[in-house]
Amino acid sequence: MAGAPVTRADLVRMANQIAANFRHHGTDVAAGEVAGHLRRFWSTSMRAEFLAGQDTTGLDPIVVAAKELLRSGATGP
Amino acid sequence: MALLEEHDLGTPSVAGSSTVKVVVDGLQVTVPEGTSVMRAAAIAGIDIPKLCATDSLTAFGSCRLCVVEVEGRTGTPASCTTPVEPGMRVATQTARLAKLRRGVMELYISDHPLDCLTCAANGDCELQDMAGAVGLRDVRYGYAGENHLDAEKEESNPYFSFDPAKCIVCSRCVRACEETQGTFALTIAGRGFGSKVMPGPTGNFLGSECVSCGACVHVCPTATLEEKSVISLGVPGRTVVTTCAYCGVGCAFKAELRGDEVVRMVPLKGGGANEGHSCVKGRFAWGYATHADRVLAPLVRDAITDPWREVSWAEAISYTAARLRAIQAEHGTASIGGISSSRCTNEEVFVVQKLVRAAFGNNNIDTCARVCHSPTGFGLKQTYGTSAGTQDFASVAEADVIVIIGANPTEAHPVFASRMSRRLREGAELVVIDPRRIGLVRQPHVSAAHHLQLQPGTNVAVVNALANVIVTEGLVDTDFVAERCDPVEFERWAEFISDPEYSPEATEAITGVPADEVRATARLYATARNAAIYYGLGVTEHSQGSTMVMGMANLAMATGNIGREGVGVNPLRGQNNVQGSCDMGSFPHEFSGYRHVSDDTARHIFEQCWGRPLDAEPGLRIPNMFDGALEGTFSALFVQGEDIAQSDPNTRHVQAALSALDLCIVQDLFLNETSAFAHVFLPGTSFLEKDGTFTNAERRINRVRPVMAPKTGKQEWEVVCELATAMGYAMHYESAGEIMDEIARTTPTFAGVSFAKLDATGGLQWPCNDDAPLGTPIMHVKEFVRGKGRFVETPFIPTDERASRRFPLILTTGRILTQYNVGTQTRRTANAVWHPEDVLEIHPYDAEERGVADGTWVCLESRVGETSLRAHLSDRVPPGVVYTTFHHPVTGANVVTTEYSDWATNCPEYKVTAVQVQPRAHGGGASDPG
Repeated sequence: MAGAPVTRADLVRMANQIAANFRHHGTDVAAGEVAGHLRRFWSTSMRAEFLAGQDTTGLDPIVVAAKELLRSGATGP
Repeated sequence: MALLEEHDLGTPSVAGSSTVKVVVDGLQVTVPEGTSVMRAAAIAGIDIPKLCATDSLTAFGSCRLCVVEVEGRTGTPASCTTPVEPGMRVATQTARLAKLRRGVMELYISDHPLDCLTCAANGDCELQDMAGAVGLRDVRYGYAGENHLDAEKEESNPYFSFDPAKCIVCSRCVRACEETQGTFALTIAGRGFGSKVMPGPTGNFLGSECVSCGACVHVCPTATLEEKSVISLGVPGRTVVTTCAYCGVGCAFKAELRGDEVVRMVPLKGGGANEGHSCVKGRFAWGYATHADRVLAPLVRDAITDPWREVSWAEAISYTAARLRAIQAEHGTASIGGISSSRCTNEEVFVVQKLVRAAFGNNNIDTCARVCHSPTGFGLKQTYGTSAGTQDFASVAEADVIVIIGANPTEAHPVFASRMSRRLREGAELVVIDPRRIGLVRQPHVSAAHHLQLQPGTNVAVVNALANVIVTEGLVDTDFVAERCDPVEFERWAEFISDPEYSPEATEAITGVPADEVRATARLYATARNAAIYYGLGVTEHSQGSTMVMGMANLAMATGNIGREGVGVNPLRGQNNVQGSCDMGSFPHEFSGYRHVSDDTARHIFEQCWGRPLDAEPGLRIPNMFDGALEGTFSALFVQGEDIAQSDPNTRHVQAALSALDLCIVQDLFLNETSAFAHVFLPGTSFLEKDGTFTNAERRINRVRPVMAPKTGKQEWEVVCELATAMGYAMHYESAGEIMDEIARTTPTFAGVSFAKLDATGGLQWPCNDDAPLGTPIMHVKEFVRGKGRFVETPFIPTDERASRRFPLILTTGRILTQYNVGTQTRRTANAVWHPEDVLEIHPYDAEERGVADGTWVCLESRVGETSLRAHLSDRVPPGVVYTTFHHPVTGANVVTTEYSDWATNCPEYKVTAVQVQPRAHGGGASDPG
């Protein structure tokens, strides 16, 4: 919808899109790549909003795994 | 400086290592084998009289003025068409030659107006000069004979006139149109005395195929083809050498002036990017710089519904600084940010990102390159290690196969297109990968070997199919890969790409490109001596823009087409300083020189230099800023020289975001679509006022020199520094050169750059440092910047933007020669005569199905908006695809483009929008479907 603010759905869509481009690596490697990508290119506020809450609705399993990596700090910059 | 007149050596230079020694008028000179006697003489300091010869064109030998005597030979050969030979002894000044030349000049002058004193070219006329050089004192034939003196002047072109009465039919203009520009719009009609220069059958320049590049005007030795500005203002008296501010070719120009008034812009022969050529924009469309619409004083208002209030610079700066600090106090340090412009100089961009990082205290800095070439930066860094094209423009002269992907050089990068066309006319093979049949697919003496007319959004499927053929048919350059690339990454990629799902036969149904065409293209590319890829926004502005860039980089590595002349992967940058704005640290995750903000070493360099702790986390990208504004977490935006309300996708979304800001600051030349949402307008400077540098698509750092003092009283970087200082962070430079010195101190790839060195060399291609003190024309020669080249697997992920029953067509966008981006500059010039409005190209089949006739209004609707424009029926686009340009705000093409973007960089997917087209009774521009 034009003019709508960023929503969790927007972040989910973007994260899922990133995951799709790493899927060929298999879930574990892809999750690391996605986490690294978000770490390097998403702002702190976007990451914080993305990581807030436990709801995994609509999330690609790779993104779910990437979230866990980010939460645990297992991925460096 | 005084008027800069570049020495014309008469005939082009000849390449080659063999040299020949000759003696001209007693002076010995050594020149490359194949050099003309005329050029050898000129190198020796002896200018032989000439009229039809000039060193940008192949010798023609028609005027007979350049005759010489050669010891041991009879006759008087034309020096322009006579090559030197070992031991040749030439005399250029003898009584016999003088008599012959005077006789030739008598014939010319007997049919030429004797109006030198009132002629626009008086003092700048080679015919006049030659009459003096040969000592012409009278004309034995008189002036009453049959002549052309009553021939009618042709004035249709807005920038130059054609006066056949003054024409000596030397054919320079015709040859320049052919050899320099490659358009072949001019010809000599008739024979003998009836010979006449003709721009097509009508004799009308405006209605002809002439592209107004100005090459014919540039080489005309008389006032036959003359700039109208010279006719109205007079012959210029001084020169300032500077750089064009239009596309990423970065042509060098001589701004020729009378006092402080620009009379004309003449392409610089010594310009590394353009070598004396130009296009209609750079050559003629500079009038916007002094247009009455320019805003020259700062404007302020409390609310965007208020009228603007003109204020002093001091008030504007203090008002803006106070409001920015108040917003940060209320909403936090990260609640403000800035956008830098690819139209501004490196120095201006550098201080804006410094303002954001050091004074704002965050990394919320992005650049308009976000919406064009950010995938180039990502993709080439991943594969090669640095975010830039690999070649210089001259490299194309060595290419045997040229692959153009998603670019339209004749419209968007015309001067480079002319170089490319020249190579194609010499016999290089051309492949075009584009949904639309661009001009280069078939033009005079150029015909593409293959046009892969793919479905929009399937670039990656095509590049994978090409790679599949190269790997499975054994066409990999195994020596190159073994020596230069990471073997583990290569093996992984080779296995990935060999999967039959990537074969041309399997992808044909997705891409629409016949498998045999893909196979033939792959074989052509892989087996060429030198094959080069040139690409544009048709690659980057997709949901897989970054993937496609990496896919092309893979192709070049797999076939060994990297690291020497004639090869490479080359982005054609849209704006004059896209490369530079990216180099200067305009992305929220990178400092200048493409170093991540989390890189402690890099960050400490800037912290020490700037005396502030800096954020180690990436900031917001442009779309994130818009989203934050709508969320209420982002409240103030500084916009330098970009009309984001017109240029960014999903206009309604952008407008809503801008409306939600507490403070929007626009620094620009004109009030524009974005300034409608601004609270502060800081007037900017045109390229004719700027002092600094632009970096073009070949990484060439070119000086931009002020032709006139800033009309606003301040350089843009001074305004930014004053704003930072008013916010409590002192920023001060005495000159733009000092800013470049700071760039060099903090940026390893610029370590060897200074204004003094740029002035001395005429321009440098980065990296320029101790390892490469004179710059780097071609990158990755011995090793990649990252060491070993990295192959990256590139799965094809179709975009979510799909044609549907409701929106069955795919819209793609592009540019046209005479307009530039959102038209802010070019719409304020006579260029409007060629493109007064954006039109929608639609295939006749789709048009007929909808009852749409050529030239009638249609409604163009996507799921986010609609607009109306006129239809142009054309089979340049295939059925199912429509195309338009985005140069006019009334059309608002971005009203219909969506929020989808590249997965890695958020570069908008401008090139794929599902739309419907329906007849409409009348125009009306953009609107929201609600």
